[in-house]
Amino acid sequence: VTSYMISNSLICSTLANWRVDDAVDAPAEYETRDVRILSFGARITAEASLLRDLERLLPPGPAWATAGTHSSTWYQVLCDVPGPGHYMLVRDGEQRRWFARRQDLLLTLVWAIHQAAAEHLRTQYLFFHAGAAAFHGRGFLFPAASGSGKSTLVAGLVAAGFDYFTDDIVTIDPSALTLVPFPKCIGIKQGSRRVLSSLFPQLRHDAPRFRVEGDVVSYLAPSPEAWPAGPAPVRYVVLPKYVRGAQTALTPVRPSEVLPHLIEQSFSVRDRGLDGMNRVLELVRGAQCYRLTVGDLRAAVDLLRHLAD
Amino acid sequence: VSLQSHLTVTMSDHMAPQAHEWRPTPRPGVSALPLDEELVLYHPESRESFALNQTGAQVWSLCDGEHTIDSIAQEISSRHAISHEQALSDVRDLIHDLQQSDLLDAR
Repeated sequence: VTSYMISNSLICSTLANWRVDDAVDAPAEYETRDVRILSFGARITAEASLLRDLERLLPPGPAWATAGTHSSTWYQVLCDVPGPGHYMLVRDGEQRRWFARRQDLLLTLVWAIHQAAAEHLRTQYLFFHAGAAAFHGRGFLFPAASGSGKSTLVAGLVAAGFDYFTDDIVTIDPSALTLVPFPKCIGIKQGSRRVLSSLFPQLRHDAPRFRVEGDVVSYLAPSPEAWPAGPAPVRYVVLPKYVRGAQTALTPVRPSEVLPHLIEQSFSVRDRGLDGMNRVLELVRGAQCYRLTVGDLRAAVDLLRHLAD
Repeated sequence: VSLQSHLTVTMSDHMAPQAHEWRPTPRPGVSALPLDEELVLYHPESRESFALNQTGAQVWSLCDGEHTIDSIAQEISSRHAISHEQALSDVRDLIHDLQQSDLLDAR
């Protein structure tokens, strides 16, 4: 008997340090952009140069997945407040945080938008900490803890022509059990950058790069043609694990071996109680389940493409 | 290994007086959800899930208020061609875990 606890650890507490204060208004010369993530929308008002930086970190998803979006959260970024070189981030006119470094502001804002989107969407979708891609309309779900190589694998698949859904925040329609894209950049850690640079030359120079938790992460925006043309049913649940020097292997496993990983990497199933559990079981029952040991990225991509072919 | 040994000792101490009489039954509200030939038990209050393999699922189906632990072990022993002692040990372990997880009715 094994007990599986459901983790919410990925919803970071980026909002914990907000301070409520009087409403503020951005200067008139600032510009405004809308960010859409499925039915969630955020409006950002900031200097043009800052908006350009944010646009590189918040790629737009496919139009079909964002129809009917309404902006529910408004962020303003005030430059040189409270002093020169500082930034004040204001949420919904009243809640604010200060930053001394531009990169901290950018990363926090991206995280805050992803978190707000997940909160907004969690009643509509099943959420998993996983990567997701599809080939010929057949969806692959890669639930795994951080450091397992999800993003590198997904990037390799996208380079090989797979549709991109996400590298670590998966949204699944609970009634149809189909993947829908959660638009975000693919976060490539330093160790994978060299391997992926031949597939994505922009990783050498152009992609935004930040130091995050002791590692340097490059933010790879998917090209517009990488997005899927529609939702994809989950046909394969694959547990990926990068093991340096190991022989790349794809091994069938029982659904019950996949289930604990899936539940452990979910952040909305528990909220749904028995119905949530039934949806996850239905998902696993309808999918082929595998364990993927990745020693060589190209070999792993070939195995998965062959599977979907 | 030490945890398992501890559980076994604890269980033996606790179960010895009533083990012959107790006929385990599922706790009301616990859902048993099939997954191929295996089983997932869902506890409605803790919202935790527990996976049972094929043999565990058989034991669960025998926790029907009719079978004692000894008779469950007999059934498992005959189905899997293992000794009664081995089956009894495994069944006791599983039932203890199920009880600890609040999936079976209290005796």
